[in-house]
This record gives sequence, structure tokens and C-alpha cells, in this order.
Amino acid sequence: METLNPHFTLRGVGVTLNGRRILEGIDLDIPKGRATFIMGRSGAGKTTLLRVLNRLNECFPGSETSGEVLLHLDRGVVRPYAGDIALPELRRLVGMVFQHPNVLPMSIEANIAMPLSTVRGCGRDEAMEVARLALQEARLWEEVRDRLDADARTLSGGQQQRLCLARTLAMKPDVLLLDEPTSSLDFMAARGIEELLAGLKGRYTLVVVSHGREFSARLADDIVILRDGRVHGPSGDIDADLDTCPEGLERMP
Amino acid sequence: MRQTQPCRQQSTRFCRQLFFDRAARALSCGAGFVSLATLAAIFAFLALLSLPLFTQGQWDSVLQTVWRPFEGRYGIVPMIAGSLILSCSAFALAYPLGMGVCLFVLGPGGGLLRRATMGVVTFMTAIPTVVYGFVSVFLLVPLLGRAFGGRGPSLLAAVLTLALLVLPTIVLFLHGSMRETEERTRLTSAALGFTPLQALLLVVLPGSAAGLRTAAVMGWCRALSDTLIPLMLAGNAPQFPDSLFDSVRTLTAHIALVVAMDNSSPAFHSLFACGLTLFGVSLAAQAALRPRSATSGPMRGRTLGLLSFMAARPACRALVSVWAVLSAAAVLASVGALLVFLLSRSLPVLDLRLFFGDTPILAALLGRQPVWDGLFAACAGTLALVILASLMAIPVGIAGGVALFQYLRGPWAAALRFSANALAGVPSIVMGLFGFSLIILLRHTVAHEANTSLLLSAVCIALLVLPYTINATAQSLDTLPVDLRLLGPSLGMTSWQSLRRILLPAAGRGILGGVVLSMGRAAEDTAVILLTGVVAHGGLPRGLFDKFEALPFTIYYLAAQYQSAHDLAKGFGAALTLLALTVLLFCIARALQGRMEREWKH
Amino acid sequence: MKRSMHFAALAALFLFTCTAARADMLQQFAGQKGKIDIAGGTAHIPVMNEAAKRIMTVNPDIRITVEGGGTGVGVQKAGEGLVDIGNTGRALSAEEVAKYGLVSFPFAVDGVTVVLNPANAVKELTAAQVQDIFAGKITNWKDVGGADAAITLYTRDEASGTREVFWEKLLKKGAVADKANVVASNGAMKVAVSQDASGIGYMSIGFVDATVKAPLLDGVEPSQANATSGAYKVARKLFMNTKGEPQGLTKLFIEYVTGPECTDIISKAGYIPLK
Repeated sequence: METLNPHFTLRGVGVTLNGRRILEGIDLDIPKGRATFIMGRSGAGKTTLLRVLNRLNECFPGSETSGEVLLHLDRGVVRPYAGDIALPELRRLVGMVFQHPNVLPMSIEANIAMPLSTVRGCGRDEAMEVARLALQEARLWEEVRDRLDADARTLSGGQQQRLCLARTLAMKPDVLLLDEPTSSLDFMAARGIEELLAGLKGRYTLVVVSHGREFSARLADDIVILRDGRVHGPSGDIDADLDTCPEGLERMP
Repeated sequence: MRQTQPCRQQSTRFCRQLFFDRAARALSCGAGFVSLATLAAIFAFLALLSLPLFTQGQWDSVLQTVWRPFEGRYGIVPMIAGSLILSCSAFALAYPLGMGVCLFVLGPGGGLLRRATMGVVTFMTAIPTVVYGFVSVFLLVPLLGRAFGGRGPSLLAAVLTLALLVLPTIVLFLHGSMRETEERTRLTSAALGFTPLQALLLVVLPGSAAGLRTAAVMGWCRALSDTLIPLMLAGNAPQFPDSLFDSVRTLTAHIALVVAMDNSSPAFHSLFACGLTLFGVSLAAQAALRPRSATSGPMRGRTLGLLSFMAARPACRALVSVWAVLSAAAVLASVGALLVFLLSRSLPVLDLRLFFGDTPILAALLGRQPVWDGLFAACAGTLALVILASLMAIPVGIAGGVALFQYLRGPWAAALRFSANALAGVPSIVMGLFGFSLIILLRHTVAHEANTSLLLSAVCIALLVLPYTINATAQSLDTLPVDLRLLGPSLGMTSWQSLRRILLPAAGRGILGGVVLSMGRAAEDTAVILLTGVVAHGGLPRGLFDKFEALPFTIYYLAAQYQSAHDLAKGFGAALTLLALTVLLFCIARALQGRMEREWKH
Repeated sequence: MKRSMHFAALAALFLFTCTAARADMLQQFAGQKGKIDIAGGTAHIPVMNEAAKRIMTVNPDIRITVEGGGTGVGVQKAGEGLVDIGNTGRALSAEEVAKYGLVSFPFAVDGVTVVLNPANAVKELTAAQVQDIFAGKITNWKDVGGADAAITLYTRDEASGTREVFWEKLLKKGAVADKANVVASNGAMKVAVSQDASGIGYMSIGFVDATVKAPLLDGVEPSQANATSGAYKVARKLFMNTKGEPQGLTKLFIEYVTGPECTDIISKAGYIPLK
């Protein structure tokens, strides 16, 4: 365990929202290239912890983050909260997929190409090529190649979620943050996403918020349990961690 | 922690993006402060110019009950009473009527008739104030005269017309909030076994308490701040009315009537006391509204008791149903009568001569020959005014709304929000008074050539409609789903990129709604231009500093000044033209909106 | 004798060159560019409009705007320099001349008359009756020989010159009841009284037409002829005013309106042109 390279190091991190304490004293290493699952009851602060990593909590007025966060890059260690890395660059490197498929009311292609050209300054042809690769990586290409001009909202839930994943992958991130990516999907679609994530494991550092015990057991390398804003684990033994999970996590998937 | 960070080890691309981000932030915050500064400037003007009343010890003479300027008596108390009596009576009529219409629209069935009723109410917002006034002068006043004896303008005529004017404001606020509650509680109510009407009385009305209050305050403020209807219909006698058939003068009409007095006379300074009074009342209304709507506390005590009482008794329920139907019928009939009368009087004269008189059309359009006896110059003036005011108000308003949504926090945001709301409540005649006194001040100080003009009118109207655009922008951005707001940042967009690419397009419909409202308001407003540069005759304006003709003023002018049947027909034609113009603005805005959405998709 | 010979010769010359003279006066506007803004007295509006129309038809490069508002607006706006010509329906007070440096140009005589609805049976009123009616002492038409109906009063706004003339010369500065309806122009007065069977108001004789009725005042018919002769006392001149001596286009315009070519316009508007 100790030999693993950390991707994120959190020391004494706390988050308050309008004076209410959401997270407190979080010490956590998130290893590079592995899948770390964050589990816990509703309201335990899982999503907030996830959003600490790409500083997304700051989009809410009245939120304050304390403590130290280190991000380990190839070029060295940076402290995102100290301004070592520009916010857009940080969020590009640390991509995120939301719980509900968050497609824009545009064409499938534009859903990927617009952010690409906006954030990375890609030209049209380059954006098309990157979008194609991302869609292939998200295993959506075969299903949508003939209707890239169609409104993204005409896709099924599972397809929309894969489109969102493709959109994030297109930004060439190092880390993927996934906030209960399967919870709004039916069983088959959830299985599809799960297989996809299994394929991505190893190439990206995955940080996943999850409710599903089975899902976590199949995918997780490490499990972090959140309880009342404090972290328990990982102990290194997934089954042991899962067993300490509060009840209510048994439901499928 | 700051959102933007110094560029260290990043490409120039990031630097450029961050620069844009900061520029957008600075510009939109600057735009936001325009509204703050305007509010402060208006207050300063009113206070400064009513100051001589204090310093010369004439303050008590203003607080008298008699207005006879030629005897040195400048009491504005009758006008304050007139404003209160007129606005409260109109409100007392319009609010129950509006509630009835809402209950009808939300009531069981939801058929075509109900949707049509709502459509008519929405359409009413596009009817210019001066058109209501004009039609009332020639339809309602003679009708009242026949019914109650040969009297002319009266409090009653003004109350009835004003009630119709403020009704759509009340209904739209009520309907918005009640429909939302109804959708939220529909299943619960059904599960409890309520009939639709019981659900409305027991669940929807109590659950929309905040909305009911907002509708009340907004409706009343609208009635208080109107100038044209009292000016045209209430008779303008500076007295306390004894009955509904007496004549009254409101503060707003008083300003319009007396603004021509000598600039250094106490009568002139007393106008600013009137302005200050109106300004103060609208501020108080805003202040009274804000904290309540924020907590949106539930309805309590007696009101709720009354509602349960009514809901439990079939007779009361029947009464409520009848009231709802009657209200809707009354409103539909009034609007129908207004339109039929307007159309029947204006369609026969509607031809090119109405617009161009005897002038060849091509020569008129090219500005080679002036048009006499035609509406062409008035149409062109109104169009120029709307375009100019929109060019100023829309970018600044949207930027201000963005600042409110994205960049400003804490006390600054509260201050901007307050100033926008307060500015929205400033009566247009007070805005006109502000523009007029601004010009007088400029002439006496730095710009001796300053004059009332198209530009001044456009600036004043832009300031008048600015709060609509600010509020509409901020509100439509606020109502976007949280996930959508987070999407841009999560992809690494700067806050400006996220706004530009995702949030503003997504909020486009709501923002455009505000823009449409603003343009309609700019096209129909009469009280502002009355004091800031409109003329009765003058042809096409040649530049920004020219005086101009405008449709609403032409209608107002012809209602009182017509010399012949042809003049009167011209008035009806102008009323129909203005109505068509405001409706056209709606359509153009819709087309633009459709195009914007298409562009955004590809 | 020599003088009258002179006059006759001039008159003859005028008559012979009438058409030529008309062209001459308007010809002076040819080649000119610019604008004239006019505001004030509502009685003046028909004359101003017609003069403006003629000038702008000959020369579209000149832009003349006409605005009402009443005498008060004329004084205020000309005084503040907001318009080039401010019209007044009364002579300026010494105070106004001193404060603003206004120069006056009278161009017509006009009477101010009481007006009633044509349906009203009353044909004649005395000055005393009119004073009592406007003071609110007489409130029913039957007290002055009419039907049994309450009297509705109409007066003009504070800025009106017509109101000042009426108030000074007929009401002898007596009170006007507070309950009187206030209308903002001569035209509005006509519309109001023509629609109200029991209404009484007052306005420029030039605005009287079939829709309203002007009763005899102390036995004298309110007509422009009587106003000019002095038989009808409630009369005034109509003025144009400028801040300082008029220059350029404004000067031309004033010369045009006060000159011989505009007499037909003034007469047609119902006033007696000043010679």
C-alpha cells in the first residue's frame, strides 16, 4: 500500500457551507491509476468530498474549504487551493461526470465539440476527430455515428450518460470523478457503464461516489467510508470495508 | 479563495481566457452599478430640487389641503389623497377580479376556454396604457354619462379603466405562483379526496401566500404610478372627492400638468415633493415586499379559517365558481368591447393616407418631403425611440443581471437587487421629471446646448426598462438546474465561457421575455416622453438631438385636440397602429428566440 | 394726408403683387437649412402648423417642430432656451421679461369666451353669473334659466394663458372652485364641453365650432370682430416670444407669420391678424 503513488493528498480538509460543517478533518490519499470508491449514507458529504478535488464547491456561494490539498502531476506537486494551477486547467485535468446525465440541448456532436473548442481551442476538424475517439472510448460511437446531428436529448438514459463520459474523456483528463454514475439508470444501462468503467480503470485515476455494494465490490480498488463528514478507511481490505458500511447499501445494483 | 488565479506556467491561451473572464466580470459589475447610480441620481435630484421648500420655509405650505398657486397656496395633500383613493379603488376592484380569473383558469377542466382566457390576459399586457385611456374617453365616458347623467370625466371612469390596466399584472403574478403550487400539490390533494375547487381553496391559495402578496403589491404600485389614465379620465380637479362621480387629481397627473410652471417658483419645487412622495411610496412597497417573499411564510389564522369555511360549504363553493366565471366573463367582455370598438372605428380609415397623408410614399420614406396629416413621422419616431432605448437598456440590463447572478455577492448583490426593484417601481412621470430637470441643470452648468431630444427620451426610457431586463436575466439564470451551472466549470470552462456557451443560451427564453417586456414598455410609454422631447408636429427626426413625434403621444394629443372627424379617425388609427406595433414586437422577439436556439444547437 | 397717400400706394402695391409677394416671402427660406422648435400656447397651434407646413413644403431641409403645453410652457421653454419660439396667449409679465430677456411678437387678436354644450338651453349669461358659477356659488343650471341639472365646471391648467386672461378679465381674479375639472388645452376644452351636456368652460373664440356654443356675455356676442373693436372685453393678443432678438431662421419665421402672407392662415384659424 505504502508504495503506491498518490494522485491526491488531502490533509485536514474541511468544508463548510454557509457556516454549516459538511466535511471535517479529512486525511486521505487517492492513489494514481486506481479506482477509489467513496461510500456512505445520504448526507454524509460524499459529493462534497468529490467536489473538493476539482474545487467545484466554490460554485456555491457561502462555501469555504480549509486544509491542504496536494495534486501530484508529472511536473511536480501543486496545491490547487493555493493557486498553483489555474482553475480551468485543474478542472480539465480532473474531469467529472454527474449523477444525472447532464447533456446540453444541442446535437450529439456539439455536446463534445463545443466544450473542446471553447476550453482547448480545437479547430473544427480536430474537435471532430477527438470527439470520435472519445465516443469510441465511451463505446457509443457505433450507436450514434449515423446521427451525430441529432439532439442529444433523444438518446436513452444510458447513452446520455456515456455521452457525458465521452465529453469528459475528450478533454484528456488524468482523473475522472464520477458521482453515482449509474444510480439514475436501469439495470442494463448501469451494467454497460460499469463495464465501461472497468475498461477505463488503470488508464485513469477514478474517484467514484457510489451507493451500490455489488457495484463497488466489482470495481473498487479502495473504499473510503464517510460518516458524518469524517472519513473511515481505506483499510486495504475491500470486503472488510464493505462490511463496515452502514446498512441501506445493500440495494442493487 | 479567488476564482481567477495568476497565470503561472500556463499557455497564453489561458492568460487570454482569464483576461476575458476578468473583463466580463468588470463590465457586468459596471453595468450593474448603472442601476444603483441611477437610483441614487433620481433620489438626489428629487431631494435637491425640493430642498428650496425646506430652506425657504415653504414646507408647511406644501402640506396644505388647498392647491391655488395664484394665491400662493401650494398644498399637495389633495393630490396625495387622489392618488391613494384612485389606486386603492382600482386595486380593490382589480384584485378580486384577478383572483376570480385565476380561479377560473386553474379550475377544473382546463379546456380551451380557460387557455384562451389566459391568452387574452397575456395579450392585455401588450395593450398600451394610452390606448386604454383613448378608448375609455370615447367609449366608457359617454356610456357612464348616459347611465348616470351628463357628466364628463370622473373618478369612476378612471377607476374602471385603471382596474383593467392593472388586471394582467395581478393575474400573471397570481397565476404564476398558484399554478406552481397547484402542480406541486395536485396528487396530494387528489389523494386526500378534495374536489379541484376545494384543492384550490384549501391547498393552493394558502400555499401561494407569498405570491398573493407579491401580486397585490405589484398591482397596487402599477395603479399608483400610472399617469395617463388619471390625466385623461379623472378630471384633474385638485380636491377631495365626495363621490365616485367627482373629479380627482393624482400626484402623477399633477406633475404632468404643473411642470410648465416657472422653474424657480414654489409650485415647480412642490412637484419634486410630489415626485419624492411617489418615490418614497414605491421604495416602501419594495421594502415591505422583500423580506416577506423571502420567508414565504404560510397563510395563518382568519384567512385560512375563512377559506376552510368556504371550502366546506357547497353554497360557498358554488358562489366561488360563479364569481370565477363572472370575473373571466367580465374581463373577456371588457377586452372584447375595447377591441371591437377600436377596430370598428379604425379599420374604415386604415389606408396609406392615414400614414402618409397626401405626400407621395416614396418621397416620404426617403425623407425628401415632410408628411402632413399622416402617422408616418410618429411611427418612425416611436421605432427610433424603441431601438435606441433597447440598444442602451438590453446590453446593460443583461450584463447587470449576469453580475447579479454570477459576480456579485453579499451586500453589493443586495444593493443591486434592491436598486433594480426600486427602479422598477419609479413612476414613469417621475423618470420624465428627472430627465427634464437634468437638462435644465446641464444647461445651467456644463452643457449650455443641452436640450430635450430623442436621445434624452431614449436614455430616460432605457433607465425605465433597465430593471425589467436586469431582473429577467438574473431570474432566468437563477432558475437553471444546478447541474447545468456546474457543467461548464467541471469541463474546465472559465465562468465567462460557461455563461457565454451554456448558461446564457439556456436562459435565453426567460431573458428574451424580459427584453420583450422592455421593448413593449418603451414603445407604449407616454409620460416619460411627455417631458423629455416629444412634439405634436415635426416630421422625421434628423438626428439624436432632434425633437420627435411618437405614436403614444399622438394618441394622447388627438384624444384631446382633435379638430375634425378626420383627426379623430387618425387617433383611432394611431391607437390600432401602436397596438399592432407592440404585438409585432412580441412576434419579432419570438422569431429571434427561435433563431438563437437553432444557432446554439449546431 | 401725405401719410394716407403713402398707405394707399403701399396697399395698392401689395394687392397687385400679392402672388409675387407670397412667393417672395417663402422664397427667403429657399436654400436655408436648420430647425425651429416651437412650444407653448395651444391656441397658436393651428397657425404654427399651417405656417410650418407651407415652409417645409417649399424647403424640406428646414425642420419645424410644434409642441403645445400652454402659455406657461412657452415662457418656460423659450426662457430656458429649450425652444426657439415660445408662444403665449397673454402679454408677458414684467417679471418674466426681466428674468429671461424675452422679446414678444404679437400676431393676432383673440377673444376668450364661455362655452356650453349645444344642448344647453341657456343663451345668455352676465359676467356676474359667470363669476358665481365658476366660484361654485351657482351650482344648478335652473338658477340661470336653464334645465334642472347640476353644473359641471371645466377650467384650464395652471400653465394656460387662456385661463389667465379669463380669470383676470372676466372673473376679475375671483376664485375658481376646486372641484372644477382641469383640461390641458383649448382643444381638450372643446372636446370635454361638447361631450358633457351640463358642462361649462371657456376657450379661445378661434376654437369655437358647431360642437360647442358660446352664449352672449352681458348681451354682447363673443366674436373676433367684437373683440377687435373692443365691444367684447375678454380679449387678448397672441404672441410669439424669443429669448433676445430673433436670429436667422427664427427671425424669418416670425417675419413670415407677422407678415402679409400669413393673414389667411390666421383668419382661417379663427383669429384677426394684427396689421
